[in-house]
Amino acid sequence: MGVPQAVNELGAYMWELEKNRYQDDKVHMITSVKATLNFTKNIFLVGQAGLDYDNTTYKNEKSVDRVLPTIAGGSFSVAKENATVQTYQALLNYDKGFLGDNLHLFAFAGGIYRLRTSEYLGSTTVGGLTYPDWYSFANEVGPPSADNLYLLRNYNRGSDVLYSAVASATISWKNELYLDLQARKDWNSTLPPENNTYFYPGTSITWNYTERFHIPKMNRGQLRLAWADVGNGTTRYFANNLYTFTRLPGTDAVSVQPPANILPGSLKPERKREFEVGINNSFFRNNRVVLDVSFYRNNIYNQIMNLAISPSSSSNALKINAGNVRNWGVELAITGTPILTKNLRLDITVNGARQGSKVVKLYPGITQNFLYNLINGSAAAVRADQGRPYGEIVMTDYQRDDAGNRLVNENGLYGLNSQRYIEVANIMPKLYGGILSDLHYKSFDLRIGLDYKSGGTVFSYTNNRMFGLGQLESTLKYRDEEHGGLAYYIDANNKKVAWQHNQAAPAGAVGGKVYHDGVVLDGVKMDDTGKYVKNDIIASASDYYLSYVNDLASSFPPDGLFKNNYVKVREIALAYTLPQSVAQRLRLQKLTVNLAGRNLFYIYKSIPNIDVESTLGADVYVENTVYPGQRTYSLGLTVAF
Amino acid sequence: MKKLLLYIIIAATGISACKKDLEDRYYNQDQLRGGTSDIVPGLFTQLITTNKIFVQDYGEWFYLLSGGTSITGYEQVTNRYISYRYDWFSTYNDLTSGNGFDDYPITSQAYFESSYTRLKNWETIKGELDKRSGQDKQDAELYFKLATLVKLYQSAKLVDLFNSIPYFNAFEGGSGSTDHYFPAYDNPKEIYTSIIADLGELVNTLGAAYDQTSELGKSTFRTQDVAFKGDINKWIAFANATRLKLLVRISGVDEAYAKPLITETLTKPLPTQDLTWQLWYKIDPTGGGFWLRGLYETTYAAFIPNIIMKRMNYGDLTYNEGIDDPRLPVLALPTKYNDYRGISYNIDAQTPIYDGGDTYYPYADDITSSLGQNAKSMYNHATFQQNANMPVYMFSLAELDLLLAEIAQKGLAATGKTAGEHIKDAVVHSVDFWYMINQLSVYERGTADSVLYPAKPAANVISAWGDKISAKFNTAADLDGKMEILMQQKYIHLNLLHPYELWAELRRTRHPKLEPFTWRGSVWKPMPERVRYPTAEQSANPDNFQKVADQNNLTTPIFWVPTALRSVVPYWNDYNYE
Repeated sequence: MGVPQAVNELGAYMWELEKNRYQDDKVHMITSVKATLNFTKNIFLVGQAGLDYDNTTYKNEKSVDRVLPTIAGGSFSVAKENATVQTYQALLNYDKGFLGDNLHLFAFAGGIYRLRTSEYLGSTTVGGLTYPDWYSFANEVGPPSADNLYLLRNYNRGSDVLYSAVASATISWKNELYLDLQARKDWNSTLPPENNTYFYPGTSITWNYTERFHIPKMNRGQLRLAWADVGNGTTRYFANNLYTFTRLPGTDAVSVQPPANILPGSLKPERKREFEVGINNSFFRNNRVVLDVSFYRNNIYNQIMNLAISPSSSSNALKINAGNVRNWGVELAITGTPILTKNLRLDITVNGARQGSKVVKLYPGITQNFLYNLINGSAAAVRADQGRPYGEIVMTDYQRDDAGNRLVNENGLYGLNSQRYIEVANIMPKLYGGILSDLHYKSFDLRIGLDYKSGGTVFSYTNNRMFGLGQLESTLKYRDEEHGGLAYYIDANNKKVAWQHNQAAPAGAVGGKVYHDGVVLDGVKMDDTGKYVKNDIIASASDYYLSYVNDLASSFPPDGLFKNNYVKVREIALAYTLPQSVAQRLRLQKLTVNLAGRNLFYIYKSIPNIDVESTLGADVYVENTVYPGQRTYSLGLTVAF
Repeated sequence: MKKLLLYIIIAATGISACKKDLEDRYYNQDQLRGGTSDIVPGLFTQLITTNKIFVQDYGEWFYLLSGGTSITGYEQVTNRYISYRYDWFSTYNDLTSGNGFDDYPITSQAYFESSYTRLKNWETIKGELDKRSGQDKQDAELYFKLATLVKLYQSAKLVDLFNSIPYFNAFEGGSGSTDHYFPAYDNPKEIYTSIIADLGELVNTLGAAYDQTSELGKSTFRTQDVAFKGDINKWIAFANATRLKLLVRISGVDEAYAKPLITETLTKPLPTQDLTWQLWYKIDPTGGGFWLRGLYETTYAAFIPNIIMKRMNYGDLTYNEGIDDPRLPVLALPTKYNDYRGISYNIDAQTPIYDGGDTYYPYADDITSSLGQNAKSMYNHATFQQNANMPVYMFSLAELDLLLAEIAQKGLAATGKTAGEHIKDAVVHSVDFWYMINQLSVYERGTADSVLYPAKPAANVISAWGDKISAKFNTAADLDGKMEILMQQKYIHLNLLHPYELWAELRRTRHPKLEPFTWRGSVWKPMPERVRYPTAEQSANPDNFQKVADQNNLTTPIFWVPTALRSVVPYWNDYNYE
C-alpha cells in the first residue's frame, strides 16, 4: 500500500497546487479617535472611539477533474466575510498630588462599550462546470436543487456586546509604596440575560523597600502583592439552547433539530481568582544583576465548558459551569552583566517558568473529564479528571502478568489490554524558558537566544509508524543474523521452530527455507495450563514491527510517547553599526547592518527523528505529520534619519 | 427639578435599551427558540428524514464501498474488480488488526454515536409531552409513539452490528442523572426482547393514538409525515413487520420465546405493499448527502459478485428471458460483450483476465463508455447510481415473504401457505419491486433504453420464474439446502439497498455460502462477526466500556447466532458451486 499510496497522495498534492486556485482578498482597517477634555487642572475626561474593520473576499477556482468522455467536476465559489469590533469608552480622570506631592492619587472611572459583529455569505456552483478553465456562475452545470441549497446559499452571522463600568485608583507614597485598587462590572451578551453581569475587584501593593532600608550592593528591591477576582463570559451563543429549523423545500413540512449538547441550567459567569507575589531586585553598580521572581496561584471556578458525556446519552456534552481548577507556578528571570568594560559588554538573561495544576472539583456526580483523543481513531485520551492534574494522557497498557511482565500472544507478539487504562504522562510542560545573551563589542552586537523545555509529553505518530514500517535505523535490530536475528524454519503447522543459522533447513520445513529474522520478545507467555512462563515463541522481526502499524486499530502503545525536552538555538543575530562618520556622509543618523538566523538547530532534544515544532499539532501533545523544519536567515539594514 | 427628571428618564431609557440589546444579542437569530411554536411535528420530520436511520448516508457509503474490504465486500454484495494491483487485499484474512476487514465506514462515520444523538428528537418530544396536557398532549402522543418506533428500529440495528449496547439508560441524558450521562451496556438479548415487547405495544396502540389526534393535528401529521403521508396503517404494518423480523432473528437462540409471539404477530397487520417513500427532491449523485452519491463516486467498487450473478444468469452469459432471472437486466449493466459477468473472489484467476485487457470505465457518468469498456457487470447505473427518484427503503413485500418462508419451513408458526409458496411470492414481488425502481429513473432516457430500461417480462414469465425457484427450494435436500436458496433470494432482492440487513442475515443463517478469497496461492475464508465500538465510547464512557472491552473485536458473534452455527464458516470450497 505504501508506494502507490504515496504516489496517489503526491499526485493529489501536485494537482491541487497546479490546477486549483484559492484567493483571499482582505481589507483590514484599524481606526480610532481620542479626545481629552480638561475640566480643571486635576480633572479631565478622555473619550475614545475605535473601529476594527475586516473584510475578506474568498474566491475559489477548482479545475474540472476530467474532460473525456465528458467534462466532469470543477467549481467556482465566492464568499464575503465581514468582521467588525467597535469600542467606545469615556473615562473621567482625577490626578492630584498632596503633601508636597509625596502622596499621589490617580483615579479614573467611566464606561466602556464593545460591539463585535461578523457576517459571512458565500455561494458555490453546483453540478460542476460546463467548460474547463472558465470560472463563473454562468458556467455552472446545475441544476440548483433542494439537496444542494447549502452550496448556493451559505450564510452565517453573529454579534456580541459588552458593557463595562470601571473604576480604578492608584495611591502612592513617594516612590516607596503604591496601592492599586480596581473595580469593574461587566454586562455580557454571551451570558443568559438573568446571569449576564459580574463584578470583579482587584488590588495590588508594590513596595520598593530599598527606599526605606539600605541594603548593601542592592540598588532596588521591590515586593509585589496582587489579588484579583476576574469574571468572564463565554463564546457567542454557547449558552443558548436553541433548535435548528428548516422547511423541507417543495413541501409544507418543517424540520426541527434539537441542540447537540445538554444545558442543565442557566450558565453563570466564569471566574478566576488569582493571587501573585513577586520580588524584583537589582544589585551592584550599573544594575549588573537583576533578579525577578514571582509565584502565582489561581483557581478557575465556574469555568464554562463542554464536559464530554457518552454519546449514547443522545448528547455529546454537558454545557456547564464546572467546579474548580487550581493552577500554580513560579516564574524566574535573572539578568546579569558579567562583563562590562568601555568597549565590551555581555548581558545574559535566564528565565524559566514552572507550573502545576489540579482539577479540584468538576460537576456533581462526575469525576471524569475527557478533553480530546490523543490522535484521531485512538482510544488514548487527554483528560482532566477530578483529583488529577490537568492534561493527563490515559492509554491502554500492554497485556501483563501479575508481576508486571509483558505478556505475548500465541504469535509471540505483545498486545494491549483494552481493559486496563493507565495514566502514563502529562501534556503540560514542567519547566520552560529561555537563555538570552547579548554581546556588545564596539560597533558589533551579537545576540544568541536559546529556548529550553522540560516535560510535556507528545505522542509521536511518525516515530510509531516508522518504527512499525521498519524505516528507522533502530529497526535493523533482529532483521538478520548480524543484528541479533534468531534462526528458525516454518513447519507444516505454520509454526516457527528454532534452528541454526549455518544449518540447512530440515525436511518438512516450508519452502525448504531457514529464516534469520527471528525474535523472542522479552516477557512471558501463557502455557497450556494457564500459567505464565518465560516467553519462548519465535516471531519474525517484520511481524514484530508491523504490530505497531495499526492506524485503524483502536489504540496505540505507550511506546509512542516521548517527553518533549529540548534545548534549541532559537536565534543568532549579528549587527554592525557603521561609524558615525560614514552615516553622516549619507546624511543618516545611524546605519546598522543585521545578519540573523532563526530556528537554527537543537543542542539537545528527547524526541528522535522529528522536529516537533514543524509538525501538525506542533508542540502540543501529538504530532502526526512532519513538515520540513523552517530555518530563517535574514540580512537587513536599519536606518535612522 | 425638571432637569433631574429629564436625566432620570434618559438614564432609564438608556438602561432599558442596553438591557434589550444584551438580551437580543444573547440569542442566535438564525435558530428557533422553544416555546415560540409547536416543535414536536418538526422534530418528528427531522427524525425520519435524517441520514443513517431510514435514509442512507453518503459518507458511510463512500467508505463502505471504496476499499472493498468492508461489510459489502466481505458479505459479497458488491466489490471492486480485484486483481493483484490492489495490494491491500493481501491482508484480507486479517480479522484482528483492522487492516483486513475494515469497520472504518462505521467507526469513522460515527454510526454508533449518530444512532443515539440523532434520536435526541425522541428525548425532546418526550420532554415536550411531559409538559403538556389535554388535547395538546394527545396530539403530541402520536409523534412520540412514532419516534419510539424509530428508536426501537435503530436500536435493533445497533445490536445487529455491535451486540451489547447502552440501551435501558440510554437516550435520556437530559434527565440529569449520571447513570444517563454515562449509560451502562446492556445484555443484547434483553434489549431485543424489550424492543419486541415495545413494538408489540406500538402495534396495538398506534391506531388509537392516531384516532385521538385532533383534526388539525391529523392535517399537520399528513404534511409532516413525508414518509407515509399520514397513513397510520403503513406505520403500524412497518412496526409489526419489524417485530416479525426481530422475532425470526431471535428464534434461533430462543425458539420457545419466539414462537407464540410470531403467531401473535401474524394476526396483526403486515405490509400489503412495499414500504418505500420518495424524497422531496430529485437526487443529484454529484452532490448532497444521499447514499447514491457515495455509490456514484465509488462506481469502480460497484461490480456484482458471482455469488449473486450466478443465481441470476444461467445458460450462456447473455440475458435470455425464461432462462435467466427477470431481475438480471434491471439490477445489472451488461458488459462490453453484451452479456452479464460477475466478479470473482478468485483473484489468482481474475488477475490475468484484468491484466489481459478486460478492464472497465470506472465512472457512472457516461453510459457509452461504460457499455463500451466494462468487461464485468456493474450494478445498473439507471436503477442505482443515477436514479434521481430512488426511494427510501423501509420494508418490502419480498422481504416479508422470505421471513414467512423461513417461519413456515421451520414450523415457527402457521402462515397459511407453504414455505415454497412464500418463496414464489418473494420472487414475484421482488421482480415487481425492482422493475418499479428501475422505471422511476430518468437517466439517459432515449439513449440505450433497451439496456438501461428493459421491458418487464410478461406476468406468466415472472410467475414461471417464481415456480422455478420455488421448485428448487422444495427439492433441496434439507433445511440447510433450503436456507441456502432462501438466502440467495434475499441477496438478490435486498442487494445494495439494505446491505447491513443482509450481513445480519448472513451471520445468523450462515447463508448464502460465499466464494473463498484466493490471493497468491492462499485460500482464505474470513468470517467477521461484528464491528468495533467507537473510540468516543472508550474515551467518554470508559468505566462502562471496560465491561464490554473484551468483546470489542471483529470476531465475537452477535447473541442471535445459534450456538450450533457459530463454528460454521459459510464458504464454498472452490468456484464450481451450483
